[in-house]
Amino acid sequence: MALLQISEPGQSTAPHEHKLAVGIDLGTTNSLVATVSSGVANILVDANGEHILPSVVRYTENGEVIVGAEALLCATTDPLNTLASVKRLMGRSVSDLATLEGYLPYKFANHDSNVPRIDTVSGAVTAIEVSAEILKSLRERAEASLGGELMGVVITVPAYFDDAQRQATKDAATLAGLNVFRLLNEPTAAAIAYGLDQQAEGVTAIYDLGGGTFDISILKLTKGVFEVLSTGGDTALGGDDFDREIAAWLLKQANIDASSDHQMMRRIMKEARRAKEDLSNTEETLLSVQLIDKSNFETKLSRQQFEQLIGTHINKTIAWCRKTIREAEVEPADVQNVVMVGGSTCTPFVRKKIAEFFGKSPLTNIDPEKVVALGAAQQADKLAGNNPDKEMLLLDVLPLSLGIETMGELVEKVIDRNTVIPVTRAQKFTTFKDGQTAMRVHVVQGEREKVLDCRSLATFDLTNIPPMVAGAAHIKVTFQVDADGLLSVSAEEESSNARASVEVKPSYGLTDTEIETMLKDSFAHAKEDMHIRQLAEQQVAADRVLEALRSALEKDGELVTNDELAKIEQAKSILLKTRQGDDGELIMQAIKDLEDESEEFIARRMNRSVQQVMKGHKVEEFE
Amino acid sequence: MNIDFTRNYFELFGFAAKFSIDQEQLAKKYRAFQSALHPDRFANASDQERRMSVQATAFVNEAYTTLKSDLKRSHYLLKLSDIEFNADTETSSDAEFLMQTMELHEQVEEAGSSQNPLDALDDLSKQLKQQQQLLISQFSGQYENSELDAAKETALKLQFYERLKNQVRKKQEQYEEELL
Repeated sequence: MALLQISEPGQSTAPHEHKLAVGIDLGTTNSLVATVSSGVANILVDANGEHILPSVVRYTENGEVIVGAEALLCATTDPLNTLASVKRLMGRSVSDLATLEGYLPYKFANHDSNVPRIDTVSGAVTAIEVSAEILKSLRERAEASLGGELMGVVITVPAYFDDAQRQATKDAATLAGLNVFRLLNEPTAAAIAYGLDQQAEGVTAIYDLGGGTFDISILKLTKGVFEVLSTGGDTALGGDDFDREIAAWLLKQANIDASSDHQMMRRIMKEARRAKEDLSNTEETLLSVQLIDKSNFETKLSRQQFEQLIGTHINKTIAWCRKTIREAEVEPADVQNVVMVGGSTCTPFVRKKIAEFFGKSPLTNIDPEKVVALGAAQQADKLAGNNPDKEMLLLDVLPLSLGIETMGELVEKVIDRNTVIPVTRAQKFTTFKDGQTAMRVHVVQGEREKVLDCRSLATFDLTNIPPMVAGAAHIKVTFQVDADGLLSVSAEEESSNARASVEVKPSYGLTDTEIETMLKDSFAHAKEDMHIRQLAEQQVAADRVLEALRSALEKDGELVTNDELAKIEQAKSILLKTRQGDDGELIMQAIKDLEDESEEFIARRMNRSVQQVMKGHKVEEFE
Repeated sequence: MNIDFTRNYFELFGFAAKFSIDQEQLAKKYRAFQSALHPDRFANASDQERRMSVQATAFVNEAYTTLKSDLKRSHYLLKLSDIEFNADTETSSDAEFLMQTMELHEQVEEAGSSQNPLDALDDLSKQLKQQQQLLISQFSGQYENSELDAAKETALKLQFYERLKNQVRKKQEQYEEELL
């Protein structure tokens, strides 16, 4: 197993060493991986020179897992074991399955977990595990082509992804053994690819029309600060609808009903798709379909006719643009750049209508199918520290409001949507019975007033509340959303300072124990392997902590007292020693001890950063 | 040890605790804080440093959001002056104003049944914004002259307009959704 090449633990690494980092576009239909080399972002290809990895995974009887184009070939012959579009299942619960029917024609296993499991010949799998296989395949491709282990990755997610969906994506990355620098919103990645983050200022619209989904995002850029002002879209609208319109038209022209003949339907859909792509370059195309009596039906479709067929779908996307722009509190004329993402934006009519609406031509010179991965690669490169001079600020917002359930199954908002993250908010609760020692809090995400109309994220049980009369306990529950948009919760009884324990029961995602089991399962064949892996991970973690501390002491050594320094040095030497051993658990403990000793010093550094920014201002304005 | 964030939002950004602040300066300073503290700056750092950076950034975000918004800033100033204030439950006691509010509520309903409800609601929303602008300058003056009770009354009126604006927006969204 290749490890991070670090010369000596605790020593500085070579200053100009290029760290391996990639950007991954984990798409519903297709996935891509890209990296920056010599300052240019490139898509990494597989052994056959293919850019795109179809997001399809096939499980076989003998336990083999096949990913990508090879799996896609079996989509029709082995449909139940060939899993596609699992992105639609990420962060979804068993009870969501009904609304997804039609998209995912799989057999779901009965299971007591909240996370749906798809039955395959080699056992039941979750969407997270399927996604992990796709990520693993991309990881292998990247490591083979870059010749080393990846230091970290940036994975893109739709801007509207809620907490459960983001968490599921991160869990998939964990299972694939990837270190996630950051989950990045897809529209933000597209804007980075166009270099819009280097512009002084401006409002950008990202119009993303894929095969089956549509997203519109309004971003505001101000000198490297990248705010997502608002997002909108339709998860059941895309280029596939164009194909269906053409197919329906063709059936009507031929005066046949093929709804029960799946083979003919597939042929017609394929022909419709070809016609659509053809009409991007020509004014008219010939459609041909073989009927049951083996005769051929042929007809012509003009671009104008095609545009009439898809008009309502395009208008729907325009209505979403209008709504999203209103939410961003800007006017269409304020939008300086319009970026096109997704294969369906190659249709000239889409480009024309968008240009009309915004009053300017959209940017299309980067391949709309690759633009997200290319932007993610650039961000990964910056986060890896390969590009220290470049400003790399990138601020995102919470896509959907977070709230808690109150009386009458209503939602009380705790953090509003479009709040800049990271964010921390505290909410006070009290007991309503004498001697009450526990309380349940239900966290939901969404904009609607009723709990049932929002997505349930988790239930928190606050226990160990000191017994008091009703209303006397003041429990402060703190919600924190990090830069990836992931929520964590802590609680405290204020009058007694007792820390009420919070137990999180995710409504959708996997519990930590489930993830641990999956991780173990994936190494079940070789126990030895797992031990080595764990040790290697802890060694890498130890090196990272030592390196971070070394550079902190080098920069701000005067902030540490002699007494602290002595303790830090002692903890450091213990960590250095345990790192040479082969006990992962011991290394983990030594890391924690070292972090405890350096806590005050690190906090002081952070405080000084705050002070320095404050002092960058004229003093007289203080009072 | 946690990061020391005992200072108030105005101090953090280097402003006197007054209503009118230099928004450009605020944005500039905010970017400087983000540049120094954002978790992306700590992508390679220890988990410990990343945790602290999340806390610090969250605090700066909260401060910035509060100062940036006229409404939130007015509430925050009242809080700094120890004025009890619950924007959700309290309402203005000005009789004339209350009459006016009833009329405005009616106008929102009427806009819904007009020929082009989206345009009518747009107009109404603009009117409400203008009213808010007037109240905002009123608040600014009152707060500077330490007329805190009057300032609170103005803040409550401002809050009323905000709620009405949200109602208008909700209605607009309803009509827009019907078009989708």
